[in-house]
Amino acid sequence: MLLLLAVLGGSIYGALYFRNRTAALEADNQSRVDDAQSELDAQKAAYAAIDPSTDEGAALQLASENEAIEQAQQQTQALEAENEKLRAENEELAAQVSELEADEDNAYYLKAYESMRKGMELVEAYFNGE
Amino acid sequence: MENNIPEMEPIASGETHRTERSASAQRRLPRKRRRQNRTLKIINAVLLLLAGLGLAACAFAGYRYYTFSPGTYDDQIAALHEEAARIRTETEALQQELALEDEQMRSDLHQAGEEGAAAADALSTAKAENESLTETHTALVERVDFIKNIHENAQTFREEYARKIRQLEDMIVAGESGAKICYWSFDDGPGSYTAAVLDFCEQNGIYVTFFTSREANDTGRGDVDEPELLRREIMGGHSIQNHSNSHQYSMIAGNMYTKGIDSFREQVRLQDEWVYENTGFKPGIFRFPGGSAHAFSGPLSKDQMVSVLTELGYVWIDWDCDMADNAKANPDAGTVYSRAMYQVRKIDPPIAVVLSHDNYYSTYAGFMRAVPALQAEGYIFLPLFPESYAIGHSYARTWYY
Repeated sequence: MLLLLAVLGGSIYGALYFRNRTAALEADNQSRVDDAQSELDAQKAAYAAIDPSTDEGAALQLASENEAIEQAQQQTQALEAENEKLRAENEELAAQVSELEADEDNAYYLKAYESMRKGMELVEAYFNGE
Repeated sequence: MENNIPEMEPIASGETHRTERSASAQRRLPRKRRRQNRTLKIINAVLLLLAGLGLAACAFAGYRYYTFSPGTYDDQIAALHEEAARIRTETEALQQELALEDEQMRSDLHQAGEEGAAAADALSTAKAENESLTETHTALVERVDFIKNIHENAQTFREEYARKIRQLEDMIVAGESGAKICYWSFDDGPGSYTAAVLDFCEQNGIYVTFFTSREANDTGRGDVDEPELLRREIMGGHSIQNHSNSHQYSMIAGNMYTKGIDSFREQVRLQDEWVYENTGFKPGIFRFPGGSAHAFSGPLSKDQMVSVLTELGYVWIDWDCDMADNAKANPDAGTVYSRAMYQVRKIDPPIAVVLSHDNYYSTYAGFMRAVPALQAEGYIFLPLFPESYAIGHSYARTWYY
């Protein structure tokens, strides 16, 4: 009887032992399967997030368009401000040019320069075979 | 009940009697004992059964453990990974496609609907205007700087212009160009017909050289505003050179060639200053009043005078063609014209320096006739500068017409 008890005890222990080991193996492999499944789900979610045919993807695309439009509008505003400044500066410079050109001495040298430039064109025409 | 107790053989000490009890003997055991025996048997049987079951369970569990194969799991995982990889590839491809579309959309917002098109147009307009305004701004800044330094710029340009003319002359001399140059010069001015000559030059787009002399008094100079004429000469793109201050060139005592080298130097220097003060441009060529042959025949040697000229930054020149239009000869316009046509054509290579005087109407009239005629034969009228090939190659000839 003791032997039987020992055998019984041993077999119960053995059965439990093997059962637990088997369960651990199954759990471990199932965990691997779950991980792979999670990875697949993540990839699907990543795809859905950008796919324009989904709400999420469409929203992303719209956000990108809105951002681009906003950037363009900001650029336009900055350019318009710069253009305004340039217009004012150009007006000042043009006035300065007029004033300088009206000066008698400047006008004299400008005319001399212009005449020599025409003479130079005449000479250069001969280099171009005209 | 009979007691059939078998006889026992005698045993050694220490041994116990194992007696086979017969059924009848057993029947003679107390009931309680009998019940205990049965219970034990039952328990043993149960234990045996359980042990058997236990062993079976253990064997089964062991079988399951040792025969466990991750194969199905691996297949499942492989399929899931494959699917995930496929979707990852598709995602990357889609990302690239969307990135390209996004880039195209950002570079051309017209693809982003009405609002995008409006933003794109507004930006494009602003950019174009900015470009234009920036270009204008740069041009104006350069213009302001140019005008502020116009004197220096004009002087620098004149040097460049002179070098360019010299380049053309070298090509003519080398036979590499069919161009012909006429350096028509007017001595002793500004004179009575200088203004008329300037008008004619401007109308015909030609350039001449004025060898000026502030106090030249060969003939009446008329009521001319000399500084103003000098400035007009420069503004017309012509060349002003030095013909001495007094133009007193006869070899009688007290004139530039007879009063010593310092007197000669003063003649050159005074005229140089006068021209520069009134025009802002310094002459660089000296023409000896009366010509070099006359100048070198006096008490001052050629070396002395050339040395002074070099010291003052000058080269010197005579002429090739002589219109012989002094007051004494007083040729008419037709003669001036004929002389010009005859003599200029004779000069080879065709780089001819013409001597005339802008104090006479006939010279002016003959000049006006000769210019278009010579232009028709391919001559261009240019200003004479110190860099010219004609310096050192032009010499007074004896013409019989």
